[in-house]
Amino acid sequence: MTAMLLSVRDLSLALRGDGAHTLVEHVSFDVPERGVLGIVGESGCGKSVTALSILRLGEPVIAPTSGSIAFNGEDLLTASPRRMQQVRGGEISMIFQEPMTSLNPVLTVGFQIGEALRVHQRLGRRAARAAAIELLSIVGIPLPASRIDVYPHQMSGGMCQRVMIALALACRPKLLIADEPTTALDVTVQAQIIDLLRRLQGQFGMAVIIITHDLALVSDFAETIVVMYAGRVVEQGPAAALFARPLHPYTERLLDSIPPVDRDVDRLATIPGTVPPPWAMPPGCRFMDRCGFATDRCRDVDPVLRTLGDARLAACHHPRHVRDHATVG
Amino acid sequence: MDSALPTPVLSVENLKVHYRVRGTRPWQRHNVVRAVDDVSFTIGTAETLGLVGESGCGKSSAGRAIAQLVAPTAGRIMLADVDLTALSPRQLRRHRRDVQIVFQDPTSSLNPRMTVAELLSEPLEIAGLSRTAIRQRVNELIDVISFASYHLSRYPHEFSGGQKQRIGIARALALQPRVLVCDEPVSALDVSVQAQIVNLLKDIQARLHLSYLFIAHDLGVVRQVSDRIAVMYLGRIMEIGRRDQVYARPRHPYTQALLSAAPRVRRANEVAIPRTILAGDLPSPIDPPSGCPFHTRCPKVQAVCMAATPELRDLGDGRRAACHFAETDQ
Amino acid sequence: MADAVAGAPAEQSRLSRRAGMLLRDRGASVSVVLIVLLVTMAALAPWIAPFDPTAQDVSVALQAPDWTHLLGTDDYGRDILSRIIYGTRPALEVGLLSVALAACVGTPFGLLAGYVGGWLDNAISGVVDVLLSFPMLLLAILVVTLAGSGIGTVIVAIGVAQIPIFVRLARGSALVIRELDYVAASRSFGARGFRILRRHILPNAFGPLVVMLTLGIASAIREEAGLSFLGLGVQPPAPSWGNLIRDGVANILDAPWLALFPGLLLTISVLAFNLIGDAVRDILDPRDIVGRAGPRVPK
Repeated sequence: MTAMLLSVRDLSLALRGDGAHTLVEHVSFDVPERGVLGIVGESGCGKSVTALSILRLGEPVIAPTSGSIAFNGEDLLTASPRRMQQVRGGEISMIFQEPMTSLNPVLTVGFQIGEALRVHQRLGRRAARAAAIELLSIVGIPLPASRIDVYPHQMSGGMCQRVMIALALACRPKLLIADEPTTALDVTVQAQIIDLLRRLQGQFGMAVIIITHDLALVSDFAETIVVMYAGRVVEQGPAAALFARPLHPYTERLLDSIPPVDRDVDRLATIPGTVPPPWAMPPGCRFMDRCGFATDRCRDVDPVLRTLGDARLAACHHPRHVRDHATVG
Repeated sequence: MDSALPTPVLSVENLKVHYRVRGTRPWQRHNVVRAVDDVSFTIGTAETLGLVGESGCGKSSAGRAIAQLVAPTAGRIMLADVDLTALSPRQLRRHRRDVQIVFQDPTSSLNPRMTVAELLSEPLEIAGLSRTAIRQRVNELIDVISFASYHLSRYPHEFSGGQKQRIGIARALALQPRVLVCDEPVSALDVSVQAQIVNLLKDIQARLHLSYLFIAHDLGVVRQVSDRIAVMYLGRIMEIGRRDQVYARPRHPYTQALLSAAPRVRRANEVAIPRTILAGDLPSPIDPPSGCPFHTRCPKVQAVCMAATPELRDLGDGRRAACHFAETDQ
Repeated sequence: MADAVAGAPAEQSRLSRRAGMLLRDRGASVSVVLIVLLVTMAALAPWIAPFDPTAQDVSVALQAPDWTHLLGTDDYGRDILSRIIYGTRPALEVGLLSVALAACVGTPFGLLAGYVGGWLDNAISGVVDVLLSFPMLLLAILVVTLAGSGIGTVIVAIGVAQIPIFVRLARGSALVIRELDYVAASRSFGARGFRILRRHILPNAFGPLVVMLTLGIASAIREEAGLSFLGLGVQPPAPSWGNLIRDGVANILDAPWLALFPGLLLTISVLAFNLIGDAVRDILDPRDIVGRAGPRVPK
């Protein structure tokens, strides 16, 4: 088995301070080199804090309470602050949801991209500027030499996100984490950005983790999907198989409730009820009240994420669409 | 238009909403944002018109103008036979109840310091109902949204996004409007909650025979809700027609691009659709392109597109598109 | 189709939650204690003070603190401790009344300016700018010239000087709130300006105003001392921390306790109100303008 670029094992995160509670529990997933992983789920499921914790950006308020995050064999959770500073931007980069507010409004675009280069690669000012212009052109910004001295507020959302991507790629990271990168953008611009990420992923040979609540968005781009619910991973598997034959009832219901663009449905499928609040998690399966296929076992025993076939995992006592227990998907 | 058809509930004619903003260059005293630039459509009884488009296309401004929250710069808004734009402010106030609006953000659309009871009572108090009548109506309203009476004394922050949106819907129904402008009512909600709200809106429409102007950017949601669709771009309507037809055979290149760009989940046995990715960014509504506003990004652009603005032409069967080459598509 | 709305138990009331947060902040709890002490001193002065503050006894003039006169005596033989205790009264009177004046006058004008905008905003803001350009001292001298010195003068002078702050604050809040959707909703029902101001703008503008009130009290107490020090405020023989300090300055080398103790108490009082103001500001998070509850955790 090839060594994984990123290996998250049994990660648990908690919110410290006033009203402390657990945010995510026992999260495990792997990202191979050049792989594309999609982490999906609805609000409050913990996908964003999981991503932030890879770069340990949530600390000290959001702190890991157990588990490990192995990047190229090195456990980031025990790394020194100096080492983390090297990793951030240098080996692992991140882009965020709101491109317009993720850039410093009083600094030019060129300066901000150049900053990453100056810090991590110790380039001089002129070399950094040239490299920044090249990066702008790589991310598809027309006339990059004239855009280098522009301020963020002079650009559209789509352009800002491209600048963010350029910033993230400045030091050729091995892993790019994209946290809801297109949520704030129009649908035609969304398509452009995903297309760009796909191209750059191939061109730079980097791995990508994309976090989103929009399953449709990742269905073409991601190779593997991790579905999160109420702070846990409930299902994991290759994208095509997962969408075609979801194992966990939550995944299935979530897919069913997406209003389709290409056909009519009489009535949209919904998931009744709401996510249990962090202080009132049931002892058994967290999805039980909304599942529709729950049994007494589900009420008493919390299902563990287990393998149900070829690279497919689900945390369910009664997984759906299991063809036979030997091979699934 | 066919004269046998009944008078539509809402008829918008040549609506323009222009905003004045401060000029960006020193020599510009002010600029004009042409948010809505000559838009016309009708909505019949118990019909839903879906209004789609991307940011800056003017769909929200059109909705707010219809709900009388923004004064139109030009054009007419007819509610049955009454021309709202020609009324005095006093007369206008009497017609306010006929068009109500459901807002996008469930949090900022509810006063955080008012209980559910107070939020629902406010429109009724303004309308001058007696206290008993108000109490009765409030009870009817919470019934429509499946709330219990103990929810009446709660504050908005005690509810989830979907529940808050229900409160907003109940409030909009309080005055028994004829038209409901839904301004991105589900965009701020999770997918599974979106479905609940969409189903609720459809149920309400069936029961009360309301007309909806459903403004959204998610083509999947719009499809499931609308009877007819209008696609806007930079303040103008690019295409309008019956829902099934527009989705199946879009005539305008922008509609085609939107449909192509809409992300879809591929379930079992579905074939991947080749996607056309639009180049460039949305032009600024302050300085729209000459001729056809879409020509700067249109994959089928020709010389005439830059010179002449295409009219919204009738293509038969209720379909209209603003493109010089609309008929030649398929 | 009816799906059950989750019947969660009603949350702990916001007020009690906030009171809890206040008490956990150490600076704030100490301040609360101090303020309670000050109010008690002012209210119960006749019963707490060991001596009549204006009773003179030249035979014991300028005595250092001892067991009879715990904080010493001044050059007329009056007991400093009693004078300080009675001095709490004008301090708190001026503190509370001048800020109340400023808030009651400034807030409505500010809300109107922010909500209505246009020429009204320009006019009100213009007046505010003029008021701000006057140093408070000049304003006080003006008022004294017109109305004579004394505590009333001080209240008016300080109150008027603080009006611009409240106008600006209220105006800022109104500008933000009027753009929110719940105000638009109210307009769509046909609500007129006055109703919107009363029901929507004012209640949601409270947060920053409350903070300003506490900070304004601190400021007012300090200014009152300053004006009394200059002889424009409370007139002797009535005690005020300001005029006590003035008397003390003359004898600063022989009898430092005359200026020291009033000065100390003044400092502590101003500090207490400032700390409360900071704590209240931390609790009344500006996010509460739109009422988002809970810690800001990314999803």
